[in-house]
Amino acid sequence: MESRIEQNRPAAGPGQATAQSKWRSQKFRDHLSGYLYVSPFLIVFALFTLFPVLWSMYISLFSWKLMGSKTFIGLQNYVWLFTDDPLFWKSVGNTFSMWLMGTIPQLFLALFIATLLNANLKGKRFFQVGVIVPNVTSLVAVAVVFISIFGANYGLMNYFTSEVLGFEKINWQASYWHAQIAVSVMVIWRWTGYNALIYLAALQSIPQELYEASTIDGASKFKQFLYITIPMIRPAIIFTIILSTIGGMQLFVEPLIFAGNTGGQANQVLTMVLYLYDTAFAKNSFGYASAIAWMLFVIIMLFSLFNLYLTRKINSTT
Amino acid sequence: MMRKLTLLAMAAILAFAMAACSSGNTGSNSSGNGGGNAADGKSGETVELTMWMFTGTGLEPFVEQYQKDHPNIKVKIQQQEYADHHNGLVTALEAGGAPDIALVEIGYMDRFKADESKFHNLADFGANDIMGDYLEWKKVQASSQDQNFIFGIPTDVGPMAMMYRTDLFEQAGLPTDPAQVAQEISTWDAFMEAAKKMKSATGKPMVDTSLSTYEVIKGQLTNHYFDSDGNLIAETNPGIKKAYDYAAALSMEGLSGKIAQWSPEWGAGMNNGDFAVQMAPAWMMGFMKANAPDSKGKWNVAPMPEGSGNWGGSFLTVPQESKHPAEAFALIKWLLAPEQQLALFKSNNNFPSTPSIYEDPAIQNYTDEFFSGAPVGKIYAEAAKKVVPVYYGPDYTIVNTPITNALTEVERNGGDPEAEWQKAMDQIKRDLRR
Repeated sequence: MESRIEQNRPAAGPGQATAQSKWRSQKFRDHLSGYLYVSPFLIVFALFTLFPVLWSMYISLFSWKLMGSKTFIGLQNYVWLFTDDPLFWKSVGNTFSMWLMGTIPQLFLALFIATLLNANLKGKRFFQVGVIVPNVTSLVAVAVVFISIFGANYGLMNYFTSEVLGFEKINWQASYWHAQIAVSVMVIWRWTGYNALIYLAALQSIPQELYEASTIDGASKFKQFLYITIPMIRPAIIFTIILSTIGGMQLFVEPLIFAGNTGGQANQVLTMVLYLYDTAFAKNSFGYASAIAWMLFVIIMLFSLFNLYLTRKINSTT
Repeated sequence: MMRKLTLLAMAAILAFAMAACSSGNTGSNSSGNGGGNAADGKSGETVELTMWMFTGTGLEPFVEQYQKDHPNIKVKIQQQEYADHHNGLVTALEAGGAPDIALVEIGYMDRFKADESKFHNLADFGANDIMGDYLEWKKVQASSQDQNFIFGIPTDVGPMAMMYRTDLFEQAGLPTDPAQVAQEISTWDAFMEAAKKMKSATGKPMVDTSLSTYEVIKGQLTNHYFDSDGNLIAETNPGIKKAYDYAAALSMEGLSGKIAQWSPEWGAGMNNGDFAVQMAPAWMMGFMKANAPDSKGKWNVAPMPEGSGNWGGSFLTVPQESKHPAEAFALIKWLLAPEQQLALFKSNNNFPSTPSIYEDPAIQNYTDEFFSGAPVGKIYAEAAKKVVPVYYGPDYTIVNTPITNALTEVERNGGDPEAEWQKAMDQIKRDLRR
């Protein structure tokens, strides 16, 4: 009702009138309420995402030990990262090698399990639920169990390799590739079932007629898999590749619990995120850690672009 | 009208959300009087104290007891694993949300001592009256250089002794009687000789890992990585290099067991006799009993070669953020008084930091069947008095980590000690410059 009074009031001057009517107009109010509706998200986003992002860019220009003062050092942190920090580049290499070792077998295994689950076997529902269990188990508990499995003297794995297969005992945690394999196995164990379920959903959406038709044409099971199944579930494959890439770049808890803050004595499983964590929360060098975070951003960005290019290419070669 | 109401509601929700974001940890800012009458717990309104500790201190039942005696004090204990606890505390002190009482272990103490503005000076609450109860070297660790600022009150201490497997010592032709062991293995050189005998006779390593031997020998030094002015001396301190070389030699001769401490393999190794010696502070006795139950009676205790050492021991501090420092101090004062420390020794084997009770029969006559009835109370009391205070420096763990990593690399993967040492020194400089 207020607005009606406003409208009836004679205008004091042309400029003021337009300003006032604009302020009071229905259109403006619609806009305003629209913004207010989305503002809870925007405010939370600004506080907990946007601000930290910008703040980390700002403090990456400082030398800042948490219990002390900040000193402005310009781009020195980045110079150090590029020219004199072998650990950082090692962590980048480790992240990618463990991503490769963890993802590729995992996706093949997932596809294999999915085709098994898709077949008509007894107690299918049980197995379908079963494969997702690793994914919902507490990560810390998983890591602790795997530490025992990969123990040097009393580990299950070494019992198998030395007592059953007759090889020498392996110190899984200490040696470079073995530690990486152990962490990759943890990743595989955790994510295979999840991916298998995605594949399973995709498999079940393939029309049965395609298989029937090809059977009549005399295609073998293998040919069917290669020329019908794989092309039909290509979107699911791309989806899982993208997801595993995101997960692989963020690999953190498994190496942390398996080998500690520094990713083992020779940094054998030090990943990029673990290095960031160690720098920030164990060494308390927040400026340097922020610089690492921005380098991470750039690396993951580049890798994602490459990934996008690849998946587009796969998608278009139908 | 309707729209107006909606807008109002939106604004209200927003305001609420903002308030919720900004308030964070107001929690209990009730009675700010903080003075005497609230502290002695007879009158006044309920005071809620938050207390952060790492796991395994055994202090919880005593806090319970205190709350029963002081109905107006409510204590909320939050426990985390050792490293998480300290890292979380650093963040909380800087960013807000620190508790009323925080436990700080000696390895981190100097990092916190670097910033007096983050803590209440306990001298303001009468800490000077009770500091005389505690070991001289603990007092030094708990206070600023000029002794005017008292950061915390000492909890337990970690004087060390040598636990050895009598069954393995016998097989190796070494003495098993504690007095003879102390006499024969009185130096680190003699320890190395004994380790070689152990290896050739039984095939078993002498120690769990060369790392623990390094920590022990380092613990006997008066200077570690920083001098008292805060200059890095890790590379130039001859004692550190000597300890490093000794540990590296142990592992290259195959006299150490490649078993990381605190790993599941460690407890199993103790239980099965996979290594012959465990250098153990008092508080580790509980761990050994729990994790190596089958080895009961197979251990005996002798003093360590070349004097004592200290591993661990903590302080209870009152962060500046606390609104109830007087009440917090009153709780700490009671909790760490000699009587409670004696009770804690009986329940949890934490060794008291108050020498007045070392002559107490409960300690002097304390023997343990797990360690073949050895008079461990007496041994640790002797060891505690011999400990010398060390300046750790705020960046102690930053320096220690690369060196321990180097030793592990030598032990596990046969790395070259000199090359690994150099790599560690380079890494330390990189980590410290940031």
